[in-house]
Amino acid sequence: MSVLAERSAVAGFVDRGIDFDAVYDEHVPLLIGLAVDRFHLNECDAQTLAHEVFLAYFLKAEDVRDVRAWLVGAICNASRQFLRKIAREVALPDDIENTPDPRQRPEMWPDQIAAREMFACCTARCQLALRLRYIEGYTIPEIATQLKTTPKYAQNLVSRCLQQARDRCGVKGKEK
Amino acid sequence: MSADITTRDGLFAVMRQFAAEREAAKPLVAELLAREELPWDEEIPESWKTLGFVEELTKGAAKVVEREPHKCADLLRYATAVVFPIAEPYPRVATSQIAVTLWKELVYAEMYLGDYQQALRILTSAEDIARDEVTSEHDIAILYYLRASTLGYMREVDEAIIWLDRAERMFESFGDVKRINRCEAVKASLLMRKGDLGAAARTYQALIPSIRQMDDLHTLGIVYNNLGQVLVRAGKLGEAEEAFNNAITVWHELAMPVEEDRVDWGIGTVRLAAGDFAKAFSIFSNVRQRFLAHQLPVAAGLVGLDAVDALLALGRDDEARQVAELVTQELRDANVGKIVLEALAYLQDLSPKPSRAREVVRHVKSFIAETDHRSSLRFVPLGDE
Repeated sequence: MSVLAERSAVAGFVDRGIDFDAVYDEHVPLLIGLAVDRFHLNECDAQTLAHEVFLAYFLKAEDVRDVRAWLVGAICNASRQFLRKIAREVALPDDIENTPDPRQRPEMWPDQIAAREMFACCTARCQLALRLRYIEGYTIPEIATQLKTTPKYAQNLVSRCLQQARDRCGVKGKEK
Repeated sequence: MSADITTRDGLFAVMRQFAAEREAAKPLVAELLAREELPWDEEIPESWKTLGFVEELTKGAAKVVEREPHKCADLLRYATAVVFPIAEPYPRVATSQIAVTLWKELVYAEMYLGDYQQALRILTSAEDIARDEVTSEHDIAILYYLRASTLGYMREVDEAIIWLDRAERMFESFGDVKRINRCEAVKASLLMRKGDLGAAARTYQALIPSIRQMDDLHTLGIVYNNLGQVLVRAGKLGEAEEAFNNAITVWHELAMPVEEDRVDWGIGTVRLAAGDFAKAFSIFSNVRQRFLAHQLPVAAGLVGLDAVDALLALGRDDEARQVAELVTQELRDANVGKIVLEALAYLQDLSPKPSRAREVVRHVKSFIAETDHRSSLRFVPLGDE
């Protein structure tokens, strides 16, 4: 292997014409420094946040014209949001395991996970109908408008899809 | 895929995986885009249940919004069905950002189709998703910008300006000049809606050099088209035609024929205002047919009313009534809502006096154009002569 080929074999990760390793090396230390110096985040939180910002940049890189300005803006905004978020958090009591969450989040999470699992068993049409009805809170006439059909058909569809979810998830559950 | 992005290796492993998923999704999405019907009644294949697939499908759908907005909305709804059950093993920031992008494109599609209430509803869902992530500030700014644009179309100008100011401040923090320009362009359109034509024209004209510098052709096309409309209303027909011609050049370069049709419609209004009624009628008729072919019944109806106006000006009253009836029927078939039909009912009895009949047609047209046709507003007819 030639020196050039060897170098290209270990070259950075290039995607959509952008060398992300190079962008990382050029900017991420700065982002971590900003989060630590300006917002007094600890090194570990700062690095995690910088990586989240970098992943967000990776996902919309084609849309970002001034990379430095975007990344700096993103880390500053993210640091502020992070600080606001932790300021709202209260230390957990010692007997947390026996204390119900007043926001009932623990009860909601299993519901969301169950909904995702249940929807994954259904056809795309049923997923859409059930999500609109039970996650987004659409009424039957609103679903009918979305699906360009009559309220009667929409009602039947939702009932049929609920049955489909029960049948299919039930079957998959038994298989397990 | 490891969702641990706290280390550099973990982060790059996730990014490489995304790149691979996108590549794998490209032929699948191309095949899906080519289908006449989406596989709504089939279980979604496991190989499709990746964020890379959702991203590619979103991009593919967004590309057809201009020519086939219904198909675009259908593809995006299908993508929502794919993305919702996906949670593990992706980092939350990625799931959130891809979902927000998908919802954002769905908002564009609904705006294209003229369903602003639905656009607002989707925006609320998207904002809920985005607010959960500390890195979503840029996405939130985009959503605020879209909310402002939607409210602008719904004539909620004051509220629109509040959202626009918030979005603009957020874009400033990212140095996102392209989007700051877009905010300014929306502000100009709001000024136009408020009737401040001079300020609107000045804002549009001042924006053009910066938009050109950013090479943002899409915004440039919109600005030239809107500037043309402002200038027609201000009676500056020569300058308006020049702006429309610039807009046509941009849309042609971007290969966006429906936008070219919208500009043609603007040129028709220049001809109408200049008293060249025969030419105006010819332009309106052609544009109307093209809008109908693209399944844009409301836009086709509105340009149809301009055609009625031109026919009345030409003294071809019987033809004008026939076109008015045809437009009414087409809009009724398109389920535009009771309120639009109520307004259209006033066309059934066009006054024998041509100037009065033209006034009625323009009044009905401006009501439909400026009203969210699913709203609960009531049409107020013109007073007696």
